[in-house]
Amino acid sequence: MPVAVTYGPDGDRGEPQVQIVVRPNQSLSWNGNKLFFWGITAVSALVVGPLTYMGFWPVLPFAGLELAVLGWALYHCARRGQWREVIVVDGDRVEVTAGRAEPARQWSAHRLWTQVVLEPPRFRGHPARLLLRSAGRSVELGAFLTDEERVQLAGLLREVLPTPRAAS
Amino acid sequence: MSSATAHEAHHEEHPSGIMRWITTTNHKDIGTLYLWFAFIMLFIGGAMALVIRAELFQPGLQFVDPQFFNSMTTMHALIMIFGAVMPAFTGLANWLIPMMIGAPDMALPRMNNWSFWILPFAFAILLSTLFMEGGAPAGGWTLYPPLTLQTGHALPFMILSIHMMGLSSIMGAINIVATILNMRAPGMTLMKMPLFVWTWLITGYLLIAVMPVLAGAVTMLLTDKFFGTSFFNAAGGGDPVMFQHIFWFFGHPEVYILILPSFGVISSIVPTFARKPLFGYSSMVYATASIAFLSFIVWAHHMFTVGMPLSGELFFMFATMLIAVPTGVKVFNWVATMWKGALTFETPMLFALGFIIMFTIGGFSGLMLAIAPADFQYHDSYFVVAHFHYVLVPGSVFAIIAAVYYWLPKWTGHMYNERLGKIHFWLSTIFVNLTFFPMHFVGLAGMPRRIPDYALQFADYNALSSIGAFGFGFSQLLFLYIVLQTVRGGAKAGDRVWEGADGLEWTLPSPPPYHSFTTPPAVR
Ligand SMILES: [Cu+2]
Repeated sequence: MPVAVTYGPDGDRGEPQVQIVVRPNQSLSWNGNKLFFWGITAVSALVVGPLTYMGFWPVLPFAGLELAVLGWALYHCARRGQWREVIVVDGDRVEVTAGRAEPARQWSAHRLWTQVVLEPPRFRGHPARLLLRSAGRSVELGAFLTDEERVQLAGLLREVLPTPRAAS
Repeated sequence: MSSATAHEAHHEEHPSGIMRWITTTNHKDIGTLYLWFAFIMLFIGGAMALVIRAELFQPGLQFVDPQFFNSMTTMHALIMIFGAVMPAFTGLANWLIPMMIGAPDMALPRMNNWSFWILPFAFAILLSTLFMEGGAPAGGWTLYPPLTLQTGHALPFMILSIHMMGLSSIMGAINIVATILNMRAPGMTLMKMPLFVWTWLITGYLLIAVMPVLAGAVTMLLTDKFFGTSFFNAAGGGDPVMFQHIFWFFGHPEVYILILPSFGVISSIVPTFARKPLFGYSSMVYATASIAFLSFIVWAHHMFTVGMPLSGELFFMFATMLIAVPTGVKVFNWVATMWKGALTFETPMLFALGFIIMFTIGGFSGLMLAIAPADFQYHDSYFVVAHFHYVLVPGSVFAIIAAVYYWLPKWTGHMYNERLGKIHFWLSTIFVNLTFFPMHFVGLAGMPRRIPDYALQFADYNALSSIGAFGFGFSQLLFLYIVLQTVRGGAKAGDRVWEGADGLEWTLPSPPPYHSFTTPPAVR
């Protein structure tokens, strides 16, 4: 599962610390994506170049447009693959920080007042939602996980939140 | 748990009823939409085939006038290729690829929604041409100018609909490729991917490479007709034969787009019912890649009779024959997988076996057609019709049917009726051969394709073909019944529906989950 758990040393006041990093699948590096893109662009150029040269240029804009969409799609995927959600349980605090290069979303609550909610989907086969909720405020975690990974993460959080050591 | 309040809080995000299907971005929903769309198109295209076969039951003109007959052959092809087979495989990809690679959904869910919802509009436009002045397109699905430019009011609408179909399949292909490349679970390396995923990766690559060529070609037809260009107009210095080159540069890879995913389906099914791992996994991957590569350099085997230089004829002849090598590797591997296996013959396996045998028949007639001097005789005859229907009907369509029987229990949680499934197989197999096998004989005897009438000596075989076609067509109503019955209920299917099944999708409960198991899938 794309979830990494580290148990930190007990803090100054002897409180346990747990850090959970959740990340989406990212099976191909950005370089790999670029290689694929330029590879297929080269093939396209071999096709479209001669046709354009022979005067059948209307294939060119279609190929260009399509490769632009492909490039955008691969970039979008690679960028989204860098998203991280970090859950830190430190003493009495639970902190969730999510983002790519910089934190884009932050949420914190008291550890013992935080509830792990696994919201079943509205339709069969749709994904469930995993929420941390405290005092009416909630944050969604692991929207990019598969259902079974999400259940696993929920289980982990349910073990860690009441007593951080229980999970070790 | 407080799920009730949470539901209310998110009510606006989850429209119900028809809006749920229109706005859905869920890969399973979209897969289902694609598959039902393909099923509907199969019946519409099939009805057109039955118009054709009714007219050809006897020599002479019985039911339709020749113009409408030609509309039927043209529309039948466009609907079956772009409306039935391609969407069916995209539907299978949507359902299966995320589950097979351990991804939560497709890479671009919103684009996925658009790719599907373009299709109903595209085909509504195409079908509306039946009611236009001058009738529906009747120049053949290959759209050769100058003939196709004689189409009446329908021409621009047909071209618009082809653009929309192309847009849909390109977005689908980009989505699938992006998903396979980027969203595999840790440990799912390329050479561990199920072959269905591999064949779709290569199919997506082919689609991305050749769809713009089709888009350019039909756009040039449009400008030749309405904007005074002369790309293919000999009177203006253009070259009509170049259209054939351009079209088939798209067209030959296109026929592999229609068949490669079937290879993936068969490679999933055969090991399950042979209870042995697939023989020669990596050679299957390389064979698929080789077939894809060769598909770019064989296009002119569709046009041996246009008057190419001898060196061209020879090149395209030998390049085409080379395709038999990787295809032979595949057939050999399937047979070797079954060798000494503990075989059982449930419906998916029956359709897979039917595929292997009858696709091979189509492959051999393809080899005959590849022989350039012989092709001068076969060209534009019913032999060609027999050949490509063998690879497309007991080929692609049988693979799709096999896939539906194989994964339907996984999708619905219910087992289909095995006895009815077997009856469906035998009816389909008998009638499909009755339909298409005699076409070899009338073709070799000289009956041309795309004609509503024929010489008397072809009458008996044509009557047989027509009987077979109606039998095959109505047998598919049984398939519809079986699918509906399974969707609505039936025996509960276990998680691992087939005892020999392997792959991540079978580790999920049937139907796929809410929240189910707590151990991560391990890729071996
Ligand atoms: Cu070909």
